[in-house]
Amino acid sequence: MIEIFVTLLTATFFGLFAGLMPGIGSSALMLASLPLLYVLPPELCILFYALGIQSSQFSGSVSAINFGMMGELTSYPALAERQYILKNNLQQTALKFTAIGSIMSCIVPIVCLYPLLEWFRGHSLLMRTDFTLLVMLTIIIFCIWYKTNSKLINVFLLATGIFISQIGLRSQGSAEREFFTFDQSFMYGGIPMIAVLGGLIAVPLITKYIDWKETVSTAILDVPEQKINFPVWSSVRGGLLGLFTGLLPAVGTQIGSNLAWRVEKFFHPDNTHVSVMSRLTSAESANNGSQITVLIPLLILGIAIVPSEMILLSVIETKSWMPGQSTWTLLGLNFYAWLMITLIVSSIICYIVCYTFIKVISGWIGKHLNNINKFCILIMAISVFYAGSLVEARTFFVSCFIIFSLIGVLFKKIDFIPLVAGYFIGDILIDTIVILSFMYG
Amino acid sequence: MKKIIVTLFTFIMLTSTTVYSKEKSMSFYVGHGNGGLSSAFQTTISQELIKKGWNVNFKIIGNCGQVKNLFETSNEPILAGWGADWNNVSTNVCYNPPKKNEFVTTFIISPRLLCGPYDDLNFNLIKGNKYRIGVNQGQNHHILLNDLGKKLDIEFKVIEYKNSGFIKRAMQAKEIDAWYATTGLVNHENKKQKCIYGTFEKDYSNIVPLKKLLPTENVFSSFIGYLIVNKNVQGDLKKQLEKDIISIVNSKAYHTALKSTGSFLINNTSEEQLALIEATAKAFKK
Repeated sequence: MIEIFVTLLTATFFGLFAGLMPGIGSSALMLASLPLLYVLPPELCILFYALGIQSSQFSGSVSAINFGMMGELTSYPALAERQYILKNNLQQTALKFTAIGSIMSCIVPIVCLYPLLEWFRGHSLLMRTDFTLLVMLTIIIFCIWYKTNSKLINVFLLATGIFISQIGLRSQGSAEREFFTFDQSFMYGGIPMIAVLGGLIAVPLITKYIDWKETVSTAILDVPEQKINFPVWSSVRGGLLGLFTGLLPAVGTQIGSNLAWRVEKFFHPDNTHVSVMSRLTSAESANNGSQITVLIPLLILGIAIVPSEMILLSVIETKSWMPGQSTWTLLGLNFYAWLMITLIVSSIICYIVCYTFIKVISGWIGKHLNNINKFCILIMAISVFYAGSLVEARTFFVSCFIIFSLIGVLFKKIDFIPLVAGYFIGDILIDTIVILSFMYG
Repeated sequence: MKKIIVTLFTFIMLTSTTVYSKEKSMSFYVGHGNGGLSSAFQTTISQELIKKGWNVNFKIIGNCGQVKNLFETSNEPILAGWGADWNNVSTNVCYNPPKKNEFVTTFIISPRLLCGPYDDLNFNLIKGNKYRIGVNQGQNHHILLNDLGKKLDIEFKVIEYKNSGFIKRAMQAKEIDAWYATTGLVNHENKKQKCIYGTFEKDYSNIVPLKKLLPTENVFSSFIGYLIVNKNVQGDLKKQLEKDIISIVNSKAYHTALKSTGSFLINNTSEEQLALIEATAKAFKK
């Protein structure tokens, strides 16, 4: 029981903290939590992820409204509406509505999650290898069209990621397949995951934020709450949009809030109190809704579709975890029951913290923002190095880490997510193709 | 700040190497991948060894090539788990047939079973029909299944999956009609699934031993996991370790845990266990 309690509290507070801090995104949160994830059983790692990411989205908009800084892309709508909110003293109302919107869009999908998972499991078509290949192809397509990189670069990164994932000695039953190991035993384990993640994502992030200084203008939160009705339908619309966008590989959680914000602009195009609050609430609802559905491909097929989830998968794969086959129970309740209970409790904690104590917290963070950010980056650096110290072929790990770090820093304008995605889907993609070749060959 | 990070990195890298100063100390490396019974039972053994006062540096490396290299080159005392199927061909990177001086004990035997779909207790192989059957990758089960098919006048379309977890999922998805894998015995005994053939010595719970149907050496393809130690664990240290491990695998709790997964152990002498491992390795040959 104590482990559930500890996971619930640490994940919620880590997540809330990460959301409040600019520069600490969900991938950074997972990287910083690596030492903790290594000691938790796989089911609790998934709980930690779900709670942490949900909490960070809860408080992410608070950071945008309060400090005027965008931690993650999901906070863009809050940032876009900030001027109007401050000018019209809507800070308290905005905080309350985003908190209610977030809690609504969490609880509804949480309650739907178990029947949804059961439905997915009951429909054998979705468990088939053909369907897994379809998911893989969707991920590949999304990676090719991913954000700022050109398509050609994305194809190159993706192919490189898949190639890197295959390096090493792969056990295929009683036969072994060596790929680019050059008969060197230190290469049997392949390119370590933490070298790829740490080098291409964590190090560029550390170098970007280590000397980060920002003079923040904390918004005055001590304003009276305005009498506006909570925009229920905007929240529902946003929540539903978030549920669907959460299933989109690589970008789902990022575009959910932006898409909901733009859709809501269609219903509320003008700049009035009601319209601004409706747009903001819809965006926040979408944000949290997408964090729940993003778990479905992971729990059913064992496929991670966003970078932070890939970090989680890399940890739980080392802990005898198989998708959909968890027999873990505690006090007679299974994993899904605990997922629902803890997500609801965590949402309530987030609501209380984000709405009730936000004045105290934001005041403290506003004063020490630069130092706290440095401290967070330091924690992430230590966590990555700790994870690296667990790798067996250490000299090889350090060499890989340095090479990937140099690539990450020298090519900082390139977003390496397609490479990381390729690295993570490589094994499943190859296995899927092999199985299908047996089935249809 | 950058200097602090670099210093910390160097410190962690240098200090995290374990120092083996205690007498009852060793590394316990698992070459089997995660998600399988082998690594799960090796984890149990390591935990029990710690309870018995051993200082165990336990790692699931999940790569038999890396474990073999460590096993042969390291100056540390190493205990490692091995699978009999890895010894099928001498060209395998993980080929390492156990020698008497390094063998400790067998820790798991899982029979391979031919089972039908979940909740279909009337499952049977009908003459003239074609069946999609799920097996583990790279273990050459198609040889036995082709022979069995000929014997029963049926056709098997063999589909190879990464591990039994994926085979189970394929069964749930109705992608396969049957499996030939080291899983299903518990479901069979609980009447949730019907298994018809198995790699048993004698008839067991209405499961027919394959050796009754086919005379080939490929019928002995049970999964057999065993523990070996490297050259740095000899003399008194090996005797003490062997004694502790044997008491763990012979305990009632360990046998109950094995039974709950459809596995077991036979109370054989070391020589008999070594002979069984050798015979099992041959079953995976092409």
